[in-house]
Amino acid sequence: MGEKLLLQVEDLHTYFYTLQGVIKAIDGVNLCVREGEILGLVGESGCGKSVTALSILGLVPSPPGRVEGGRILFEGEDLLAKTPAEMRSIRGSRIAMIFQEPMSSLNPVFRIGDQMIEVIKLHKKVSTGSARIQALEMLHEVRMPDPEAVLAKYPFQLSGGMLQRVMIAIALSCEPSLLLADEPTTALDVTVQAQILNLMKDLIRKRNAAVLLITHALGVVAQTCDAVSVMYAGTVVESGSVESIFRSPAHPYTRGLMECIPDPSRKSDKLKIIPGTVPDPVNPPPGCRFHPRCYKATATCSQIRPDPVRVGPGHVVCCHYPEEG
Amino acid sequence: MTRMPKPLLEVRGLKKYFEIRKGFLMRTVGWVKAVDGVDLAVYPLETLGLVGESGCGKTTVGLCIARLYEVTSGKIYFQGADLTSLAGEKLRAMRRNIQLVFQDPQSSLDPRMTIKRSVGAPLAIHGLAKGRALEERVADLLRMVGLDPQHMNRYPHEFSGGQRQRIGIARALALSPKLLILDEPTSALDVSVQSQILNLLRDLQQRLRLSYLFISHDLGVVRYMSSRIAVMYLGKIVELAPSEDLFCMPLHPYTQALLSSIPSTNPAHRAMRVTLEGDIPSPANPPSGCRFHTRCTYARAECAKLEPALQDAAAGRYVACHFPLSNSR
Ligand SMILES: Nc1ncnc2c1ncn2[C@@H]1O[C@H](COP(=O)(O)OP(=O)(O)OP(=O)(O)O)[C@@H](O)[C@H]1O
Ligand SMILES: Nc1ncnc2c1ncn2[C@@H]1O[C@H](COP(=O)(O)OP(=O)(O)OP(=O)(O)O)[C@@H](O)[C@H]1O
Ligand SMILES: [Mg+2]
Ligand SMILES: [Mg+2]
Repeated sequence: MGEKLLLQVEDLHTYFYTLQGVIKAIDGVNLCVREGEILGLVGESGCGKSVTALSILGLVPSPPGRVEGGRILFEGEDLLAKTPAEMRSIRGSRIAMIFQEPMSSLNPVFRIGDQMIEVIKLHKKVSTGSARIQALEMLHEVRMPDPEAVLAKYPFQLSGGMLQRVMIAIALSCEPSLLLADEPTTALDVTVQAQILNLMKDLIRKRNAAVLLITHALGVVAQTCDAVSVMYAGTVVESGSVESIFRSPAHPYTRGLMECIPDPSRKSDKLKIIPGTVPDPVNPPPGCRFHPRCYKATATCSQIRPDPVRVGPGHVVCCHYPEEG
Repeated sequence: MTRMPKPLLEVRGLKKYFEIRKGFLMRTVGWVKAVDGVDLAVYPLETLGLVGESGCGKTTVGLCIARLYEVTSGKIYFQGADLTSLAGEKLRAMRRNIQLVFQDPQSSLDPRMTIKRSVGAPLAIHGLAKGRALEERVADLLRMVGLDPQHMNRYPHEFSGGQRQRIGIARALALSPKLLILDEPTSALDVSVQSQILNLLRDLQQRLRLSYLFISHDLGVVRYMSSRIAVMYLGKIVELAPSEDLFCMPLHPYTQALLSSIPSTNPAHRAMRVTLEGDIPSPANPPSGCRFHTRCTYARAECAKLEPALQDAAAGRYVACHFPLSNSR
């Protein structure tokens, strides 16, 4: 794993202006992805994981959305300063993406082969013949059974797991240095999910590409990622290496999340719960956004937003009273 | 488990085939064998977990038991009475004892109805309560699932996903059923809300002396909830065992593969995973012999020829495999 920073998101704010009010979907997010590293971005529904990815890609739907502040440095360049045309050429070549629903990213009326060949031709400026050869090679690499036959098929003729393999093949065919994967295996069964994650990991390592893996499944992160950032209500509350976060979660929210998942490897008597529900994004609580649900909250927590503090090597937490050990 | 009492629910040889129709004349060109010979039993006060990959037939089993589907063949006994041969008033009376809770509380609640009407509907339909008494019963039900009865005049969209699932549970409890079929009741919820609902379901089971058929593909959740677990693959039960035994020592290779695919939240377990190759075959055209043989690492020649029956493997365990794991290793 390289130590060089590939992507750095600093104090990002992305808001949606709706009739119900201003949704502060992203309200001060900091992230960094190193070369060749898999960073997991976890958090509950609505905490802003997808909007973070869309902000990086310059794809926030506008209106109603707008990036209101912050910096997104990718290979040293500020993506927020790029023109739409420049972003278009970065997407799919230097930054690729995979989404949860492969069906929605593939055109249902074109054959798999034609779609793959078109993408490869567009980004690599090669002939149809050599694009076809590369498409076949990529399908082979994602261990697709019978790649020749798959080229001639339509998306609906493939299973979810096979479609996700096609998406990975397309995303990696242009040799991106960063892959954004938004819940790439959530729609798949556990057995297929395990296959796809292993495959992604292998291919990524081989190419020394970096990945931002968005998921709400902590198990997926523990099994796949090198580092993890935990989001809560539009902010990143904790970041660090997978080992240190899973061994000693420092934010009460992270700890709560880990304890409320029924552990398949042992019988639990009573599940821990995090009381309450996620806050309304239009009127988030002041101070630390987690304080209304936190067992150790004090007056300070309801007034002052906690700054990041270091609790270990590369392990940072935004909490006034981090957990110990 | 020693000396079981009489089962509350017993399913024998259950089959449910769906027609595949094609062309201008809508001719039947084949059958999706969604459920293809399932035997299971749910005992009083227990939770039987039903797990398996997408499309293996879990929901179809649940809908057949609730008699929302006509079965293709097989018998469903509830407290000894065969539901498949009952009709009219008798069936209606029996069916009150079996209620369903679905994955998506959004789609099972009418958006134009207040919570009071939704939760009270089963009582009103069965003519069991009206007016003041109905309102009191609804208030009781809402309190039971941890909701404020003062909110009963609100509409579903005014509640969060977790609260809507509580409403769905309250409605399922309205007729004081004995068996709840819970079909992925927490799959659409966040983990923090999921744990609240799972704890609620366990409390209700104790308090109201309920039995559950708990359908899920999340093995962690199923282990937390169930006393026994049935593992389904392509329309068949391949293994059934007390939960702890199943997790500690799976007998069927499919169960083993399923267990090792669960992503553990311990990063140190990375190397231990055995992944299954290939996709799930289509239930319209299941493989010959043992349906799992196309993906099974231990398959031998006869597995492709002969279909194994679900057999007693002692100590309350059942397995459908020619070479169950403890014997072959
Ligand atoms: N186009 C939009 N218009 C208005 N609000 C939006 C829009 N897209 C997202 N939001 C809001 O931004 C917030 C963050 O949403 P986001 O999709 O990033 O969540 P997420 O973490 O990806 O959740 P999930 O796990 O459900 O995918 C939510 O409150 C959401 O309602
Ligand atoms: N009404 C129907 N008509 C035709 N086929 C159906 C119908 N309902 C289910 N099927 C098919 O029967 C099989 C079993 O479906 P079922 O919904 O019972 O699976 P499941 O185990 O509940 O899956 P999931 O985990 O995705 O909910 C699938 O192949 C499905 O496509
Ligand atoms: Mg999302
Ligand atoms: Mg189902």
